[in-house]
Amino acid sequence: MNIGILAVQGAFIEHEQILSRLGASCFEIRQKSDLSRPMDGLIIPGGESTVQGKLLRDLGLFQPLKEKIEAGLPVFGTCAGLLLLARKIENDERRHFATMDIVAVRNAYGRQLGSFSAEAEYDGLGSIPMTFIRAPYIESVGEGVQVLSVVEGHIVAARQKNQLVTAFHPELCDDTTVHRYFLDMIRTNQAID
Amino acid sequence: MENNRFELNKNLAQMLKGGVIMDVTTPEQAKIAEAAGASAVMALERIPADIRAAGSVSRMSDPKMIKGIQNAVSIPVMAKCRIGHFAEAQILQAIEIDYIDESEVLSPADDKYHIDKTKFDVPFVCGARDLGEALRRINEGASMIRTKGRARHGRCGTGGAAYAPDAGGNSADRFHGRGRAVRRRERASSSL
Repeated sequence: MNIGILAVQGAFIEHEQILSRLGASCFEIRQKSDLSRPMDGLIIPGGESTVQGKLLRDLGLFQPLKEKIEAGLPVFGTCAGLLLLARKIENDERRHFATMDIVAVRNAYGRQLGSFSAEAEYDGLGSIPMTFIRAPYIESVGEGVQVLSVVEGHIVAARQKNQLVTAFHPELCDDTTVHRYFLDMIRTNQAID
Repeated sequence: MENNRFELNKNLAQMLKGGVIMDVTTPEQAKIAEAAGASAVMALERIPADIRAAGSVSRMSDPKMIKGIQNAVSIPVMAKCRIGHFAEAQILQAIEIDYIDESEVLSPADDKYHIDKTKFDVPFVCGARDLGEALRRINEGASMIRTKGRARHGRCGTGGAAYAPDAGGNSADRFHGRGRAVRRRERASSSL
């Protein structure tokens, strides 16, 4: 199993560290030639969605990655990654991959003073620690989107087929539940192939 | 809770990695920076080069101007306060700034102490020229460290609350005892 981690800006090394703890191999996607490597899954890390969205386009990564996601490549977006995958961002004109049928709210908890940590149930797998940094949340989901986690009445984790998103940062905690969940998604996807 | 804020504030620094933080002085410039791919903006009235050229006392920016920039962009907005000037930092926290830069670019307000940053909920970034400085700032509660520019200094009589507190000498030797070559070398080795 080989997982590509988008590494144009943000907290990508944290994802690499968690994957290596779980024994999964990964590589960084920094330019178009990196996409020629075999890839079983894609992680879009936290950072600034405006920056990542711009760099994806400038580097020619946008279209090929969008096609891979649409073709069923398992993808996991955290925070900014969630915004890149969302069909609509309520308080932002910008659209990026827009492959997942969710409506997100950007900086939904306000500025840095609104950043917080919480513990909540994740898809019946138990309560896990969650870190929200100038985080978005999901305001509404379309049909076929499974809600995995709710914090204070807002959806903070969801899945639509091959796409998994969290508004929080599992890569900033010691808990590996969400990453293991994503690895299971990839394994299931490979079994179908 | 205090430790938790420190963790959350370091976490924001992690999200900024690989990004560019741009100095801006107006909402229009902030929008240009955001569109150009900046991961955060630093709101200030004058850019550091102009501050140095002007040579007068330089303070925290007008909160009204900072708020204009906060309203103009969706990326994090940072602002500078004077070294040791905790009241300026309190004002910046009250307007919910995303990061406070306790900056040597502005006139230092305390010749001995930096701000006790553990008393604040918003994160601080501080400059450091070596590991010792960096560790002192972290011990005071800074959650991000940057390389350090030239500590700001004014001539006697500018009314500055203090001269550069840690620029490697007292103000007398800074302004009278050192040759031009030394200062040029300092300039070359320091960057913002």
